[in-house]
Amino acid sequence: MSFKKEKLGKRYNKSEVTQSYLMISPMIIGFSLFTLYPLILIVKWSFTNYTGFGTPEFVGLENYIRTFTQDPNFWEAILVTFQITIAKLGIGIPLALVIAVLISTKSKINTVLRTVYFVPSIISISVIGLIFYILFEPYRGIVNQMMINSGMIERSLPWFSNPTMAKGLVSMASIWNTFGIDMVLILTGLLSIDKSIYECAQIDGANRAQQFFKITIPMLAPVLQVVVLMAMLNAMKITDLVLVLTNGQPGGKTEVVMTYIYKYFFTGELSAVQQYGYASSMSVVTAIILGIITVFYLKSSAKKTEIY
Amino acid sequence: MKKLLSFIAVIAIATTLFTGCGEKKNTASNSSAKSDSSKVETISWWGNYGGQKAFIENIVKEFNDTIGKEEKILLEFKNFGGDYNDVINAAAISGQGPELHKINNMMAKHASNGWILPLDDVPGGKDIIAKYNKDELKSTSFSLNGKTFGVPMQYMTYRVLYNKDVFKNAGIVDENGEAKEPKTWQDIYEYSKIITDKGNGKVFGFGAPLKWDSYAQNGLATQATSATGVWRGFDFNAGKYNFAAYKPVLEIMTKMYDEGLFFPGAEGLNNDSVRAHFAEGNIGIVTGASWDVGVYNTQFVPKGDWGVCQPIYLEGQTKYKEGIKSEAIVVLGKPAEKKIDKAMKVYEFIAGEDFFVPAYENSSWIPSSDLIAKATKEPDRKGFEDFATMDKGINMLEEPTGVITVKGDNYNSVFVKLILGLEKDIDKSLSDLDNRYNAAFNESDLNIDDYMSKDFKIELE
Repeated sequence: MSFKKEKLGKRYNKSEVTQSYLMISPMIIGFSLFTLYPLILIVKWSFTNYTGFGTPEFVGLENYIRTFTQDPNFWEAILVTFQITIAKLGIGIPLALVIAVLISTKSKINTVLRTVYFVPSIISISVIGLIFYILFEPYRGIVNQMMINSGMIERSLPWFSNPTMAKGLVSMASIWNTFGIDMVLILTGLLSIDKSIYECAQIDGANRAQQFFKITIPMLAPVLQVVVLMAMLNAMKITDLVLVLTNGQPGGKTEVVMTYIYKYFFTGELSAVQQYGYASSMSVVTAIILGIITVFYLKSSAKKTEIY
Repeated sequence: MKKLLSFIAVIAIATTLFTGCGEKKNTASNSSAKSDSSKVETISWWGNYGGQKAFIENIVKEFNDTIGKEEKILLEFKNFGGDYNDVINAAAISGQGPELHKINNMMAKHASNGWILPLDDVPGGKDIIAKYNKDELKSTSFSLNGKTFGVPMQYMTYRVLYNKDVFKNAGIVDENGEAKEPKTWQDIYEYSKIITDKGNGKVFGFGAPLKWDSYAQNGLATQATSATGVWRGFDFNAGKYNFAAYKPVLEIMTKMYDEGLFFPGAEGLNNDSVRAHFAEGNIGIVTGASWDVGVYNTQFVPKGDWGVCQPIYLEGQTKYKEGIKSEAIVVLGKPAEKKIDKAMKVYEFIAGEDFFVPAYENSSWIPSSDLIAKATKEPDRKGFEDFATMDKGINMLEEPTGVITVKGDNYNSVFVKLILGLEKDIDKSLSDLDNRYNAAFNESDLNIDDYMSKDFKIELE
C-alpha cells in the first residue's frame, strides 16, 4: 500500500480513491447524459425559436418576454397547479397522518388495512384516471346514478363541465393515488418514536389529544418535512392524471403547468406547430418557481425539525 | 481479492450502460450484410393505417407473389398504433427507418430534416409528378422549397353522420317513412332538439368529443367549409384567415350545448367514446370523415342503420363547395437511397391503379375520380360510396396553420370555450383569432402566393 499526505493532513490510499471514482462513474455518466445534458439543451433552446425541425434561430429573451407578458394561459395553468397542490396538501397529508395514527398499533386488521390503503399507490396513473372518469361521468357514471337513485339529486351533476368540480375531481384522484405512500412514510416515523415518552406523558396526566399535538406531531417533524416536500413537488409536477382524466377540459380550466408545457413540446396540440423554444422557456421559468418554493419551504421548516 | 472483486463489479456495471448500443449496432450491420448477399431486396413499408391494414396486408402478399417475384423484391409491411408518429420520427433521426412510410402531417418536418427523398431527384420520380395538377402539388402536404416529396394518392371528405333508427324513433322521417337527412346546420339543431326531447335522458341529439384536441380541426371546421367558404379558418381567395365566418355555425353549436342537446359530458369525451355511443344508438348526429368508414364497419359497428349526409349548408346563406383533402399515403424514406430502383418499383405500384382501384372497391381509400371510374364493382363497406361522392367538392390547398407560430389559444381551444360558454363574446373571440393567426402568418417567411388563388372557385354554382 502506498500512502500520500494531503494538505489537510489526511492520509488516503491512491488505489482506494481510484476505486471510489470508478464506483460512482456510472452514476455520474448517467446523470450527465440524462439530466445535465438535457438541462443544458433546454436552457439553450429557450433562447431560440426551435420548432423541432430546421436550425434553431437565436431570438434572445423573446420567449421569456412572451411567457411573462403575452401568455395568460401559462399563469392560469400555474394557478390551477397551485390550487390542486393546496388541496392535496390540505387534505391528503392530514388524512395520511390520521390514518397512520389509527393503524399504528400492532394487530392483524391493521396489517390488512396498511396493505389496502397502500394499493392505490401502485395502480397505474392512467388506470386511476379511467376509474375516476367511469365513476363520475355524467351519462351513466356510478356516482351520479347512486345520487339520483337515493334522491339526493334529480339530474346528473356536470362533474367535468364545471371547472371547479373538474379541479376537485383531479385533486381527489391525486389524493387517492398518493395518500397511501404518505401514510406509510408517516407510519415509519410513528413507529420510531420512543414509547417511553408517551408513558411519561401519561403519568404526567396528558390526554390522547395532548399527546398527539405535543409529542407525536413534533417528533414526526423531520418525517413530515420530507413527506410534505415530496407531496408538494409531486403535486406541482402532475401530468398524466390530468391528461387522462380531463385533458385540460373544460376549456383549458384544468390545464396544469406540466400538461400545458407538454402540449407545446410534444404534440403541438395547443399550437398546431410544436414550439420547442417557447416550451423550453416555460420549463425554465417553472423550474425556477419550483426551486424558489422548495428553498423557501426548507428554510421555513428547518427550525421545526429540530427535535430533542 | 476484495479489491479485485470490487473492480470487476465496477467494470460490469459500467459495461451495462453501453450494452444496448452495442447490440443495436451489431443487429443493423448483420441485417445489411444479409441483404447484400441476398438476391431478393427487402423493401420495408411502415404506417398506422388502422382500418386499411387488412387490405394492405392482402395486397402486399399479392405483390410479393407477382411483381415482387419478377423484380426480386420482398415488400414487408408493418402497421403501428397511436404511437406511430413518435416511432417514425425516432427511426428517421437514427437513420433506421423504412424505405417507404406514411407521413401523416409531418411532411414539412421530415423534408426539412432530409429524412425523406424528393421525387424530383429519384429515377422515374419526375414522370410520376407529371401526372398530377401542379397547383395541387404546391401544397405543403406534398412539396417544400420547390421539391415534391409526395403526390395526391387518396382523398378525404368530411361529413355529418346520422343514425337513421334514432331519427325514425324520434319521428324525423320523410313522406316515405325514411329518416330525413339534415341539409343545414339549422336542421341539425332542430332534429337534435326533437331527438333529445323524446330521448328521455337516454338518447341525445348531437355528439361532440370536446376532449379531443383536434375536434375543431377535423370535426367541425372541415365539415363547416360548405357553409362558411373557409377551410380550417383560412380563406384561399383572400389569402388570409377568416374565423369570423364560423360565427353562425358556432352560435348554433353553443345554443345546442346550452339547451342540453349535446350528449352529456362532451368535454370529457374523446372521439372513440362518441363513436361508441353513436354506434349504440345513444346519439343521433355526429361529425366524421371518410376514414370513419373503417371504424363504423369494423370497430364501432352501429346497431341500427346509419347514413352519411351530403354537404351541410346554412339556411338562406351562400352555399360553398365542401372541402376535400388529398394526401400522399406513402413517401420515400432516406434509407430508400441505397435501394432506389427497387423502392421506386414499389412506389409506382402503390401510386398506380393496380393498388388504388382495389383499394376503392375494398372501401379502403378514395382515389382520384379517374381511378374511381375504372372500378368494376361497388365499394363493399357501408357509407364509403357516400363519402366518395365528391361532385360538390373542391380539392383544398394547404392552410399555413401547420407552419406558423401562433401565440395564445389555438382555434380549437377558442371554439371549445365558446361552445361550453366559458367565452361569451363570440365576435371578440373570433376577431382575436383572426388577428393573432394573420399576425403569425404575416410575420412568417411564407410566400402568400402559395396559399391563395384568385381562381379558387369555392362558391357552389
